[in-house]
Amino acid sequence: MSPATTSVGRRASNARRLFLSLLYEHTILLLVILLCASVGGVMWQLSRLSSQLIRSAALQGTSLYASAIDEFRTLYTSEVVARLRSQGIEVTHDYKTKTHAIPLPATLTIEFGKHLSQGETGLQVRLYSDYPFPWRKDGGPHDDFEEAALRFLREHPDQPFTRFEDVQGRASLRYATADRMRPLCVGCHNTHPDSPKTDWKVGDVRGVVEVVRPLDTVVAKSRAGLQDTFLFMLGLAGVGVVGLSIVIRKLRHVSVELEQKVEERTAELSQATTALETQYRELQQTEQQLAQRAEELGRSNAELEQFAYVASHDLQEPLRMVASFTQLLGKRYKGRLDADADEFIGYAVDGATRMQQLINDLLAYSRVGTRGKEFAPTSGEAVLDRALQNLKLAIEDSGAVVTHDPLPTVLGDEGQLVQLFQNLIGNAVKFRGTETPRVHVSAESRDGDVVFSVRDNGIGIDPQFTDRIFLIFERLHQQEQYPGTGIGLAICQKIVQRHGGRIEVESQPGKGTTFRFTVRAA
Amino acid sequence: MSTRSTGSPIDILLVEDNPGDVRLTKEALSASKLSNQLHVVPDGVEALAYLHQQGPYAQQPRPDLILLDLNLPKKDGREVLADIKADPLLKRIPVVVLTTSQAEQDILKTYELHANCYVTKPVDLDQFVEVVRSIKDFWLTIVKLPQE
Repeated sequence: MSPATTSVGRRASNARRLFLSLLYEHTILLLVILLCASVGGVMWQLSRLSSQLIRSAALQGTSLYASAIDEFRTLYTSEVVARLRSQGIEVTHDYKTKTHAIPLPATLTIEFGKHLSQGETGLQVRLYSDYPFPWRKDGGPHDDFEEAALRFLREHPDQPFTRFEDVQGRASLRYATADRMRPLCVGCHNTHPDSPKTDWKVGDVRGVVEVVRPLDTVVAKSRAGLQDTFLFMLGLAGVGVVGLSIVIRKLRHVSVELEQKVEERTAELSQATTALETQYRELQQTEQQLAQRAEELGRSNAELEQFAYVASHDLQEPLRMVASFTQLLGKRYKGRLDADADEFIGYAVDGATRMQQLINDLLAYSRVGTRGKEFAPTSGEAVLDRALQNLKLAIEDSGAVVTHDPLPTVLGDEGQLVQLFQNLIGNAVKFRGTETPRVHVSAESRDGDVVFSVRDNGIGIDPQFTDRIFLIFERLHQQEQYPGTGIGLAICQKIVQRHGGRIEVESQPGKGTTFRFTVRAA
Repeated sequence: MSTRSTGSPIDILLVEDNPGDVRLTKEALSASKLSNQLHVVPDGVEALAYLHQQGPYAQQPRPDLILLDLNLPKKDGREVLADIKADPLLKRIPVVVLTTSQAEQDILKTYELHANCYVTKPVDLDQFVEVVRSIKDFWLTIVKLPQE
């Protein structure tokens, strides 16, 4: 865009802005101005129309008038003058002073005009000519109009010559027509002793008949009417302005109220925004704290893993020494020392072995959280197969019968699920009664989860202990009866919890136990 | 070298810092019928000196099998393993990692360093003896190794 058009555009937009601000701030004033202008325009148009009407009506009426006068004279000439003249009656302009005389047609016309002029209408009829008879002192043209009329009508005898102008201070229509020689007239005019011209021919323009029709009364009436109309319209406009002002004031009031409401709402919104921002900041702080916690947790987890490693290696190394050499001692010197020595060696070997088992189980427990794999669709059948494979010796030794229903695919960590099944089935075999151990594994779907059940016919658990069996190191039996570390079920619970599920137990002492746990379906 | 005659003794290098384990290994091997010569070094540096026949080990024979512990002073078992497997003269000697650790990262790491196998020392004495004997039988009588 060039700078010139830019400045033009800017000016245009400035003007528009100014106009709009004027419109908003001085609406009523602008309305008044607009209404006045409209009333003025209407009045002007009405006045123009009325004056046109007056003129056209005046022209029409006057033309009728003029032709009536003309017809009357023609009739008088042919019907009266021609007859009486043949009977010896004189036709003269001064007929009033003689007994047997009648007026000349022109004289009669003049008289007729005088009579008409005496009425209240102010109508005047005048005959004049550039060749007046000598007795007619005022027979010639008097003013500019009459001269112009004579000139025009000589050129255009068939058309009227009109003009609207003031006559004796009154607005009037002057209507002039040509007075032409008729066949009956020519003879007289050419022979009359006083005739100023004796070579008249038929059709010659002898003079002018002018009708002056005053219009001032009509104009005055029309003006009065217009004035009434104007006042009426002004009144109407006034009422309109007052009505509109009231409406505008009301609207402004409403708009002010609305603005106030908008302001209030805006304030409320900004308050809400501030509150939200504060909340957001607090949330960010919480998030930071959480991240810090997560970091701390990660660190403590790493330390735990390090501890697990140390436990697995550095603790087991000396333990293995104790165990191995007490065993070697037992092997080499059993029966060669006394009975006490053999017993002590037995306790030492047993203690070392159990400690080894304890450390391994503890490691397994800590690894549930730290060494878990990501969850993936895992076949329940495959998990059970692997668990049974790992328990092969124990199952064969005990003669246990393990059966199962079809098992679905679940979402989980396969290694941990194997350990879970292995621990539960291992317990079922371990805590067997006098009968052949029977273990049955089943599964059912519930709300997107799979509920697995491991049911056995073992010794069962006293209900008062069912809450404690999942606690780490918790044992219900003597080591000689059922050896163990008390970590197996704690591991089970930890695995199920890591999978977002629950584990519970239902048991009748002497009849059997059922463990149920949930895992998400794949 | 397919099956060894009982006449020629086989040489086993044991890299182990724990005298108890050395003793146990000796016990286990003594039960074996195969005549063997067990050479013991206590740390990684000594192990490499032995293998390169340096210093006091100049007259020592190159071993037929190496039993390597992972946690050793001076230079640990992983570094020794990496050095052996990077040496063209030594890399064919089977290396059995024999350790207490059950840590997965140790198992993975040693196989990545081309250990021939990874064995966790059993706590039980009988099992330990059995394991050592199995290792020896497997690597020295069952497996076929290239002639030198």
